[in-house]
Amino acid sequence: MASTSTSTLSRKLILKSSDGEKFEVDENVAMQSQTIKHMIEDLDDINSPIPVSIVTGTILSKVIEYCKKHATEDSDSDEQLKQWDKEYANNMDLNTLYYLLLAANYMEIKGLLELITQCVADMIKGKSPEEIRAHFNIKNDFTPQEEANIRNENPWAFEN
Amino acid sequence: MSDLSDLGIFPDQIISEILTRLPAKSICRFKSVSKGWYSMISNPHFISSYISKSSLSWAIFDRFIPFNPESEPELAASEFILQWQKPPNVSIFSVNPHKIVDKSTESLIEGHEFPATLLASSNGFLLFSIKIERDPFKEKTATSFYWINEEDSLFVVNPITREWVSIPKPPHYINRQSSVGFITEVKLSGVLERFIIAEYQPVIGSKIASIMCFSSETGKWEQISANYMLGMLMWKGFGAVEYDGHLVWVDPTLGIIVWDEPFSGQKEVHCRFIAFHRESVGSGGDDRFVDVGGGHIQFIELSKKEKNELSLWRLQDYEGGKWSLVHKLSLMDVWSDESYLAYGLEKVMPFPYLMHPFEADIAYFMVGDRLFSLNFGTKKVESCNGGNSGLSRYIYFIVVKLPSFPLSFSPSLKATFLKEQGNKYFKAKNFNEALDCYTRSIALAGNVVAYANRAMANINT
Repeated sequence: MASTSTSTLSRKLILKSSDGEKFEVDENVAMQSQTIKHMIEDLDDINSPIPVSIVTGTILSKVIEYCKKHATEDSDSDEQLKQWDKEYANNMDLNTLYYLLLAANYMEIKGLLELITQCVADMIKGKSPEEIRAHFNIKNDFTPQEEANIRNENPWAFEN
Repeated sequence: MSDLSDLGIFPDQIISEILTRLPAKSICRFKSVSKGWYSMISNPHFISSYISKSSLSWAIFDRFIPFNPESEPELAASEFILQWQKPPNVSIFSVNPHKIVDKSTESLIEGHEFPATLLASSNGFLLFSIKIERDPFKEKTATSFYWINEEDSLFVVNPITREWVSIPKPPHYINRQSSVGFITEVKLSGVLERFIIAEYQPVIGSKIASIMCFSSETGKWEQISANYMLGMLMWKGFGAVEYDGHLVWVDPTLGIIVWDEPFSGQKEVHCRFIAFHRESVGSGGDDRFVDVGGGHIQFIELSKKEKNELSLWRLQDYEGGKWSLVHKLSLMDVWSDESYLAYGLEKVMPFPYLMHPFEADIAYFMVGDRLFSLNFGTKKVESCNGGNSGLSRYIYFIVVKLPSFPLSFSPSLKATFLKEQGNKYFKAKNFNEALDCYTRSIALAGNVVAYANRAMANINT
């Protein structure tokens, strides 16, 4: 008797990562991604795996972990959910965090994107421009003179 | 850990998402990361979206502290530090005290108790004056001689970025520092386009007045003809506020005089007088305090008659000039309220200090050296600072709404000031300095006059 209700409430979808790993998830979990939502609207056959082309299996499993937590409504208070989010983000190393950011952006998962961007913002807010370049793998394309001019425009921003 | 070379470069959209979550100070620092980041951060759309997402905060600005050159020999006497007070119950506060240095303050009057006075603030910019020495004989002309040995040197300062411009000397003295109006026009993209500094100077007993007005667009002072509507009544200007693009001069006994369109550029203007409500004018001798609070022009009246009442009036109809009584409190009720007692405040007549810039019903009062906020709606004291705050009702103070993103002077505005500065040097025959000013002015915004003046300076060097 339980089987009928679950089948109507939540169908299963299969997500396939860029490296071929497959994940079976409830539809309501996957639907938190706007990208997937739009994809299955166009699909007749939802039983075939849905490719999430730029996200690896490792990262996709983290994304699904987040989506699962946020798909089950009412089980946690807002406060508990916030705490969970915090721990979730804190447990990531920097690389994972950045790949998650790209994945959240690609998959259009608003909550996850906000969580990770805030986390990255907190991490980098006290850094120097040099550290930022190293952090984001950005090439300094200013001439030393140009860079000095910009610094002189905002001397206050370089003080402690 | 930081090697993300296999990751490629983040899409701009993500970077921009991260940047909007950073404090303004970090954002301005990150302008020097790369050309891409610079143009992203300087983009007006980015700035306006940043501003729209941030919450406003405010501070009380109450004094300048001149450095003592003896105790801090590396600093010249002409350096000032700005001191900010955090009002009770205001949570966001991120401005560090800092120095302002200017050469024109070299003739600073020594031993003056308050050498620098903050006159007004608008959009986070401050107008302040420094008292400097004046040689009455040097400025003597065939027709005029004023025995005055000090004068005001005015500055407009952005306290966060420390950008400032020095205002040329006014052609006449400022009559009352406290009634100098200051109004700025800021673009959504965080750029200060223009500002006006103006004092209303009526000719008592006549129908005429003049507005001594400095406009950033011309970089010059001008006398604008205006009207005086009070005949033989003496206008005792005390205070000027900015309200929704209008300039408002205040006389706490009579009412307010408003200049509806200070940016119109007209040479002849018509001002309006809005008397305090007749009911309130009748009770002469009472203390009235006028300010803009929560987006309204309001006044607080302290009636010293037997009732000891505190009332809050609001200009509900600006065009029609009608005040409405919003709240009336008995001081006895305020004093006996548990919130007042809980803070251990003395039961004396409170002195209105300022109005909450965002909450129309909240005003701040002083009792002794303690500052507390009173909500006229709930009749409760909502917050209070501890003793020994160093605040005093006799110190000139001002409410500064802090912009969420530091504003900057527009290039054309800076160009105008540099050109004027160049003219000053030119007149003093300092041609090299003049040349430098004109060149910098032209670099910011090409202007025919600046080009011509530079050519003249070149000929003379």
